[in-house]
Amino acid sequence: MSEPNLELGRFAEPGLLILVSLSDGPKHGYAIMTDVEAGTGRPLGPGTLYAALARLEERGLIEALEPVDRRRPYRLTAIGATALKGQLAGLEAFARLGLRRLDAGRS
Amino acid sequence: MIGLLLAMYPATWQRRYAEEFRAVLESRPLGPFDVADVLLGALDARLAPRRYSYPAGLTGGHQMMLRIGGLGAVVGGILFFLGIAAASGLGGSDTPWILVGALGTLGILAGLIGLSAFQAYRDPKLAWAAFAIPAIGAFVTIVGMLGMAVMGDSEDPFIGSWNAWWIWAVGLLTTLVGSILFGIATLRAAVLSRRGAQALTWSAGVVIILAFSGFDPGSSALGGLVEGGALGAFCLSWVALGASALRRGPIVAIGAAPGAAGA
Repeated sequence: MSEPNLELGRFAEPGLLILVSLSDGPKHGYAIMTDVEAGTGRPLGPGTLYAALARLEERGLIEALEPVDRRRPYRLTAIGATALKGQLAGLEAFARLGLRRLDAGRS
Repeated sequence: MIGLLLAMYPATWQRRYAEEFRAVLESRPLGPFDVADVLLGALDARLAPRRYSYPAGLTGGHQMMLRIGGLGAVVGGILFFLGIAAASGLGGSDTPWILVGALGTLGILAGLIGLSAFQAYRDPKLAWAAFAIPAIGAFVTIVGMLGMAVMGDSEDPFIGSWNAWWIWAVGLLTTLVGSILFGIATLRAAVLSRRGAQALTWSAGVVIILAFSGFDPGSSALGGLVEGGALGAFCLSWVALGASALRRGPIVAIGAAPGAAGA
């Protein structure tokens, strides 16, 4: 499986969470922040949000749209969607492996 | 405050993101965690100011802050108790143990910043008070402890007309009062250990009551046990809150090798 690497270092997790948040349509910064917090139950600080957004934009995984009343929405690019799919597939495979090993260890 | 935070970022970053970033910051009250997070973001932007080609791993981001906060509370709680218990129970030189206690207080200070991320945004005044009061108290406590380490048993003034012990005592009392608020704010946020937050609130309250009631812990073995127990519960509460923050861990594990399932 060919999987584009996000290569976001310590911002990989916030980056992935942002990509997932944008997977159902464009959102502006605050909407991403509240969506991630609602989905994970953990805070996403504004500084981390914009550090990750800048990296994702630089790598062409997301693109900025025209601002609406100071709020600029972002949307997933085709490369971003492919990268996200690859990351999620990798995680799914990893989760399956873990669950299989856990079951095998118990039996 | 928002203008000040934005000014921390490099001009090139501000030209691209300042307007929308300001809109995000204005969308809800800023807590201590947000401010620390923005400062880290500004540092990150300054380390790669020209074309936002952020190299991997330059800053910790929010995940690192949460881990440091959790770890700080766990280690700080343990060291603070060890330092206080040993320094008050041992004869001879207390200095090493006082320094251990000061390190523990520093850990609790780190815990305050990290754990405040979990506190409710709906009550920003409480969140700020719950952060600022114990943070100031922890800082004063550290100053007092360093003073005691330097001055030994001397009652000579350390700062102004205050001797080191009084500075420490005022700092500790402020930390305890602030910890009650921190416990309440944590309970309202309902994210971290409820028992830890309740224990923090009650134990800090009991230590304050004992301090103001003229209770002499040295009067009997039972007295020492009561005060030691309350202080121990206070420290253990920080450990419990830190551990519950660490247990939350990463929701999503990144970097799973593709095809790992077949390995």
